[in-house]
Amino acid sequence: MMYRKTGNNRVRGWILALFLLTVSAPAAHADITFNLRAAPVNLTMADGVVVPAWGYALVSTNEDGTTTPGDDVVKVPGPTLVVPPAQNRVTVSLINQLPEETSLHILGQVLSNNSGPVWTEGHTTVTYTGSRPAENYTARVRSFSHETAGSGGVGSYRWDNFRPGTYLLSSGTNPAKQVQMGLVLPMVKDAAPGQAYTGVAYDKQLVVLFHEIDPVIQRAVADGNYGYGKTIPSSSHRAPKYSLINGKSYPDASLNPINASINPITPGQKILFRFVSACLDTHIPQFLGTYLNAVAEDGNPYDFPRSQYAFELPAGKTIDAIFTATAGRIPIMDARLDVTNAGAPTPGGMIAFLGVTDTVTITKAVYNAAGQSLGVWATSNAPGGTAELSASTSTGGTPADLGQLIYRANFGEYREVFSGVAAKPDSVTLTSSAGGSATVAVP
Amino acid sequence: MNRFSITKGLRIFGWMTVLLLGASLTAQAAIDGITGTKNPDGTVVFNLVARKGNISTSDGDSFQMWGYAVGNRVQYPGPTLIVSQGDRIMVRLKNALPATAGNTSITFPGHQVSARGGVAGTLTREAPPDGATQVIYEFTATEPGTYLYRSGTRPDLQVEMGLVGALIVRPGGGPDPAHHAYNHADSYFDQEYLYFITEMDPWIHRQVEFTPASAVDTTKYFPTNWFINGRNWPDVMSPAFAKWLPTQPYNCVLRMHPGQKILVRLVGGGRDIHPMHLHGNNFWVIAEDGRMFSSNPGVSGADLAWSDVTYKIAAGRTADAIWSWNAEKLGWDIYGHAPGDPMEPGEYAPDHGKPFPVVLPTRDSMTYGPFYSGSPFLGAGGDLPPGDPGLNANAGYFYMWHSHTEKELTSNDIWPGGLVSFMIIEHPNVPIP
Amino acid sequence: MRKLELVMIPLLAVFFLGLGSVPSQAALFVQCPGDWDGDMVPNEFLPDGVTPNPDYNPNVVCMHISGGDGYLRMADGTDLYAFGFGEVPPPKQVPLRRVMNRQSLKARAPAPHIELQEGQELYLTLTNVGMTMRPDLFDTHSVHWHGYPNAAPMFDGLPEPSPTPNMGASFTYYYYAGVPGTYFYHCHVEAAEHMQMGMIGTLHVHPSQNGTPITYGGKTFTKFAYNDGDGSTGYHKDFHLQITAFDSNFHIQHEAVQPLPFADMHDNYPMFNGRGYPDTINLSNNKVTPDKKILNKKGFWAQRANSLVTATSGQTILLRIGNVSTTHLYTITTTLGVPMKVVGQGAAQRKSPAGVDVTYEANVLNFGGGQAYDVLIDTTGVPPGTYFIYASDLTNLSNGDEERGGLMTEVVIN
Repeated sequence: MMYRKTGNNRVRGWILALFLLTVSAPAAHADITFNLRAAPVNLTMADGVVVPAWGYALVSTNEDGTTTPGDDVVKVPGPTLVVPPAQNRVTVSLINQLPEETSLHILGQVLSNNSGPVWTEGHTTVTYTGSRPAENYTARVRSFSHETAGSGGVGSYRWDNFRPGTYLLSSGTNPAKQVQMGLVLPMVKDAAPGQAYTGVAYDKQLVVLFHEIDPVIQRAVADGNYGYGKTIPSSSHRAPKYSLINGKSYPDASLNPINASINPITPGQKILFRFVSACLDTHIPQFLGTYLNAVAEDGNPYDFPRSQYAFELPAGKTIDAIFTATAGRIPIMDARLDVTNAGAPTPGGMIAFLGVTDTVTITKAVYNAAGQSLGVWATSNAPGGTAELSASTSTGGTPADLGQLIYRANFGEYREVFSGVAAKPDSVTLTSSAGGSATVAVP
Repeated sequence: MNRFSITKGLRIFGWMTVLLLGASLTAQAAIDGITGTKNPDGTVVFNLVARKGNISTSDGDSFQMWGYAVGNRVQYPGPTLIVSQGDRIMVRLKNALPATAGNTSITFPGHQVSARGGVAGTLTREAPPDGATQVIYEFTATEPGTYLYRSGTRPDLQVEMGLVGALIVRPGGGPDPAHHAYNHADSYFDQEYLYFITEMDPWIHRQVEFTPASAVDTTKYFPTNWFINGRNWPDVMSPAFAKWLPTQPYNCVLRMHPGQKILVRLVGGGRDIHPMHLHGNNFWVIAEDGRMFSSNPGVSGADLAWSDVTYKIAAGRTADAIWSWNAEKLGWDIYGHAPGDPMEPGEYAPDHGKPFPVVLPTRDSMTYGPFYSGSPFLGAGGDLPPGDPGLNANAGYFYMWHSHTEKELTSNDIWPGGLVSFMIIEHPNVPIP
Repeated sequence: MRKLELVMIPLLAVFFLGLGSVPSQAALFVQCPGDWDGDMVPNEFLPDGVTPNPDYNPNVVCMHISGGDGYLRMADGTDLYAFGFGEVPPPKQVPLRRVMNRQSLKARAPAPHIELQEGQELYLTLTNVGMTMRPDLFDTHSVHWHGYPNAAPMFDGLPEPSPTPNMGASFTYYYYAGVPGTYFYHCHVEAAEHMQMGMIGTLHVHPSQNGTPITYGGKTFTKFAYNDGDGSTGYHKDFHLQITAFDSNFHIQHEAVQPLPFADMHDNYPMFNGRGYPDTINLSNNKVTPDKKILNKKGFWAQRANSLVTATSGQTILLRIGNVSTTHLYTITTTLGVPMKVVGQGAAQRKSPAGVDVTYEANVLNFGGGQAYDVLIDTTGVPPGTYFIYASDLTNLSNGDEERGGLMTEVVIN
């Protein structure tokens, strides 16, 4: 789990301000405070197009009095905030460098210091805070909770009794606009070390967050052309062009494989996938070649696990599912087929690969001079022959590709007899599509 | 005010009226599909060729599509592959699509597939559009259930164009695999039906026909045609393998007797999510993605099944549901019996003899639907107005099973069309072939 | 058959005695067994006040609704032409011969609510009052009780396998409310059109277990969603949030007698109980801020249901949430911070045939058209304040092109 970054220790003015805020909190609970910064950021899409967005940066984390700096880099989605199992009071302090007010909201957690909501009288700037005035039926909510003013304002949001699970933290202010712009990040908390929920143990975990981008709307927001009375008055005509996993679209290296940060993975290990939807449409991550056991949704554990190969994620949904690791290269793709980058005819969008390198063993390599053929027998620990083993030879330093081996299910092994091999090769190498390889000398 | 004359208990002998109806209401107890050819080593082999073809929609239009063909005749959806648990399956694919379509491939969600031949692709091995290169996909059908297969190459376009199909794995255990979806009595059914749901955006098909396929932007997907088993309403009611729908061989006509159990195999073959609403009664959803809802898989059956009357079949996923109907708690006798009349087989006894509860308005006050028999009673007909097509000569009970996103009940702007089908509950005396 | 004849005689008597009968009016009539004074409530005694009425059945509930057109006011001020069911007063108040005129343009959204106890028998008369703004149409209308278990086509409301009433005619539906749950009803004639145009309402059947105190989870309930036996579907307050939605272009084309744009249908006015936010929290009625009632462009109060949810912290709320949009699925969530527990869906308790509890908790629920869930929210630990139930597929927080509206309502916890 690589969510805390060491490094940049420059003390900035706002870190000091936040430190003072956190020090003033009573120390009776197990406390953790995340210091976030919300700010505009430019995102580069897979096709090179730059889209303006609003994101979060982790400035620092304060746990029971000890402060650890974050990388303070504004991202979409924002960095995953990990609440250690022992902590139950979570505070997020926010510096808001956006051009307008914002707030924080976690679906499924009770905000304990809520001094909002904040309404506006119709679409005017007259506001009401805390409750709707009596017999007022025209005010519209602007923020679900108290607001943090824009252009440098600071605010604090606290959740006592933070429940374990997988959650989406997002803006609670004009959510159609601000959540869409990218003000989202995943938050996770285990029930106990190594247990996502009581009795649900896992070895490693991956957060997989989905979101979409409509560049036209996001440019309008950045230019101040979005909203009541403006060029784009609302999101009702939203038409996303980009579909992203953890902020990137295929074929970004971070998705191929998606598990680089938790390698090495040993077959048999329980890998917890925390799916988070920061989308406005429903997406369905589908695994090809395996099933996972879904154990919880929205931070609520199931009574019994559900074996499924696809997970329906409507807007804002989180699902926790456990993959019992096998070697192999397993595609994960959106079954709703948002798998392009702005409609280009090449693979893009919501495609990722889970890659657990397989162990390839060449059990036998036999050259038949009379028939000018090379027979190769091999195994891979990727199940069911899902790994593609391709053979190549080296003869006096000259390489040659022979082709694929055939998987024989009855024997649990791969083999092929390659013809047209004029001379006995010095060695034969098998390369697996699942990343493994093996070389033996040809006797 | 006139009283509507109610004929009670009139039984029409089904075999005479089946002749009147013709072959059009011949429903099958099993599902149309192909079972492949068995190699000497027991491997079940299917040879599929991806081809270009045309389909007809119920508004009288036709569209170019790409589909899987066995031999020369392409079909939509692709052939339903029917195999048994434990079979080693080999699907051999060749690509005879136009060159601009590019490579194609097949993925089999839910199965561990060993692929070889052709060229390496993003998701799996692919066949170039040369009509000759063969890609071989092999897997063992380890678990019974309902599955799908679909293109793994540029799927946003190729799936939309029609490169999809169903895969049914029959259970390997038990005495009666033809009437069980899984290896447990909870999955018993008298009859089974496939609901393979897809959509099409006509604009994409026109673009593919007249421009290079690479120019199609699928982010603009906006379907206006919807299909059950490759046909829209009312073509679903035509016979399977109808000559006038040569590339759309499968139909969807459901018939049963009261009390029977119907297995509905739902497959999300397209890109959208469709809430399928079954009039007449709730159903038990016993499985998704080919796995029963079980607290102890392999032992406790579908002990976690749940009931609903509308099921959202999601893109890329499958579901199995068991539906039944027996007029329980209706409050009146569906046969129009007098209390002393004998019971029909399986009749709900507490309502036996209870009279029809309302007076019907005069005939000129009402419009009769084409499937109204003329009587409210099951198996009883009545006078029909002149010009009425009389499409319910067996006097069955018709229930519309349809998408509850009602826009999807149209075919490219024409009402009615799209995702509509009918379940017909026939009087117990009416034979169902 | 004999029973029907007895019912006939008192009704005919009322016709001749009180209301005057004209042969051309014969097509409009209501049926309410045991009711001889025309108030749509069965009479326990005959007119002499002493002799028991042999047709009296205390389980009988009677309603009369009209099917026709009207106008609705959207939350951004737009007026849209619509279809809908209207509420028809009993013949005792409004003679049948006046119903056609009176119910012209009286479509309601949602349609008149139907509330039943398990075991009651509903005689629901539907009168087709025609479409005043579309005199070129001669559509019939129907009532489909969505989810009625073991339904028979005669009363299922599908026009294909049943008769449906022509303009100027009435059809009485009979429903034995044998299975408790959250249901809804809608017209099923040319469903894509009539439902898009708005003929949709809510329907509850309360379980026979209601009234029996049962303690579950430390709380004692007397109201339950189902006959759970253990109180696990118990609640203190229930609210129905019915999602419907309009495609304004479709309604505009309809009123202008243009071909209906089915292929282009795309709902842009999603509503809870017939209104978009902030009208969802407008509590006005004839007694409360009557001057702020949401009136349609004809000055008629067509949209009478608000969607405000209120409770005391610690209470258990039952939300009956259903989606009847013709184009969209919607995803609903709350800012309460406590989960929604799905205890029933499709008017069935979340219990497997093996009797296993298959309820689950979620913070986000997606509804396809035709789906209705029973959701319990335990507000224990929720601080007093105002919270929101809203669509997390955030583009639906719009009234047409107006932002910060649409599918949202408020929850006040005190």
